[in-house]
Amino acid sequence: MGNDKARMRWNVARFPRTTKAWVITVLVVVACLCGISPVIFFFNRPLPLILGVPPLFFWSYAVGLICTAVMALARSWGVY
Amino acid sequence: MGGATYVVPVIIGLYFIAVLVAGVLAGRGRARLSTEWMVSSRELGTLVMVLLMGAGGISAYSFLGAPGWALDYGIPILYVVVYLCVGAFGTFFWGPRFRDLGERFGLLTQAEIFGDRFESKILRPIVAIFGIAAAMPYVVLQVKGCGYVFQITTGGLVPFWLGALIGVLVTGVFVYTSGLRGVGWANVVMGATMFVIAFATMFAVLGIHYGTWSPAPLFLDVFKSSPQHLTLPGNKNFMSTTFWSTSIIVCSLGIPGFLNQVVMYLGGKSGDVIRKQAMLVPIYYFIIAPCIIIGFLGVLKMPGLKPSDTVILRILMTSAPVWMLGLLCAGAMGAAVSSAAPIVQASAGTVVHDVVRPYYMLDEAAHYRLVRYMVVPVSAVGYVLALKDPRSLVYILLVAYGLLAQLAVAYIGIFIWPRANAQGTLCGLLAGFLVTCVYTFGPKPHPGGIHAGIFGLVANVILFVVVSVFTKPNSRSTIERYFPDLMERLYE
Repeated sequence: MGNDKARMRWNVARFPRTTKAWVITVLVVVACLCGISPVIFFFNRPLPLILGVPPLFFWSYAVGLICTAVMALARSWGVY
Repeated sequence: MGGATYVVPVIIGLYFIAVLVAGVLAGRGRARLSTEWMVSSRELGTLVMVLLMGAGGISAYSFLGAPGWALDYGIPILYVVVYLCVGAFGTFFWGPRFRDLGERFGLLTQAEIFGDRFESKILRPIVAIFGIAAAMPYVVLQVKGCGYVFQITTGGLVPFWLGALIGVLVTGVFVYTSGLRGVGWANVVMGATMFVIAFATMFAVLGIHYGTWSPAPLFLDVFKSSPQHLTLPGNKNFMSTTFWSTSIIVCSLGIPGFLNQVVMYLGGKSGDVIRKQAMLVPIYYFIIAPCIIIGFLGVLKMPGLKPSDTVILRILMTSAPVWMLGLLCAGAMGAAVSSAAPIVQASAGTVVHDVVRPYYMLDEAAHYRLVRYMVVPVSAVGYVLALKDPRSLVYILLVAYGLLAQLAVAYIGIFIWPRANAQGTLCGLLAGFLVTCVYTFGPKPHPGGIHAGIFGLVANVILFVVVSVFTKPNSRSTIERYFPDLMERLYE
């Protein structure tokens, strides 16, 4: 075991291998950006109410549903 | 008020009996083994997992504190909803992998997995103590929530110390008797009732004040009287968009870092059960919406109320029937107990399994007895800290998510990057810890409106990679166990 360091490559890691896995990876990033990116500026206004609540209130829960949808797709594709 | 003095404790008492029955019966007839108590023999199904995580994520702080935040600052409180939902991706991605490792190698805790993967006897207790220290303030908050609910709604007839003690005892009993399985089934009862109670209360309050179930007239009134409550940065310029975004990143990364989250993953029946759990739990988090909406009513009815955390109780005490106040209090107590119980259970198991057992030989029977006995001192610590309320707790709470997010970097070493080792992980965690603390408590906290945990993550990643690359890798046998699929490409 003493020469483990010499023989192990440092730049090998698990990455998504299939196209579906990459698609899901991109969708996860997009879903996360929905909650934190400048998208929220568009919803950062008091009116008009959407489904009876302010736009940012609506969008915060929409992000949750987008996350659920992405995970449902990943599960149905057997990715991750 | 007079009616509330007696009716509320009776309703809470009946509720706690139902919780105890569910929690205690869940453990009856089960094997008296550590694996059963600590990870429920890895048998928890989808319903239990969803409500274990869902109700566990909704604390007394969310049930009572979120309306208070809505009253004080307005819409910025919704960052909690977003980070809980985005954090579910962490469960979806890491959860099945933790479960798989646990089953293949017989691992029972987060710290044990660190010790095994990184071949380190030092890292294991450090991660254990780090995890318990970061999670324990949340137990203290829940205990305090129990004390306050009793004290406020009974007009002091049930004092704070007694209300808190009742909460601790109820939690301790079903955790002690049934372990993770008891916590799971108690959370099924509490999670389901909390969901119903939260929405029923909102509809009733809106009906009383506006004659409709829709929150639209309420928000239009808030817009007329205090429009800054409805947009970022919120009332009193509370949260900039930068702080909103970075807080969500840090907190969502921190969720899978809680030691009780990992124990929950290890208790899942299968990887797919955990994926379903992660997929469904954002829907459960709709439970926060009614609490926040009632908080917005406080902007109109009780502006400037102090302490603002009592707004939901005050609104019901002044405008709703006493039985409804009782139900809401039962829901709040459920939120407190359902969040405290998983942490108490995981902490008790972790202390014995990762701090005591590596140094003192314990056979299976002694190990099983000791993890259960440890519930008593862990609960007692939570109770005493709730009564003493030391200032240091506030400091830990401020940085807890920032610190737990640092573990996400180490997770990359466990599951993705074989070259990571104990030295890199330890240096990264230490750097992340120090930098997060400096940028939280230093002269300029959260510089540029960026959450301190982000700076900690940058320092952590740099040291994690550099130190790992320049120090000895883990043994080939360990790497082969964790990365069998990479072995062909990994060695020259």
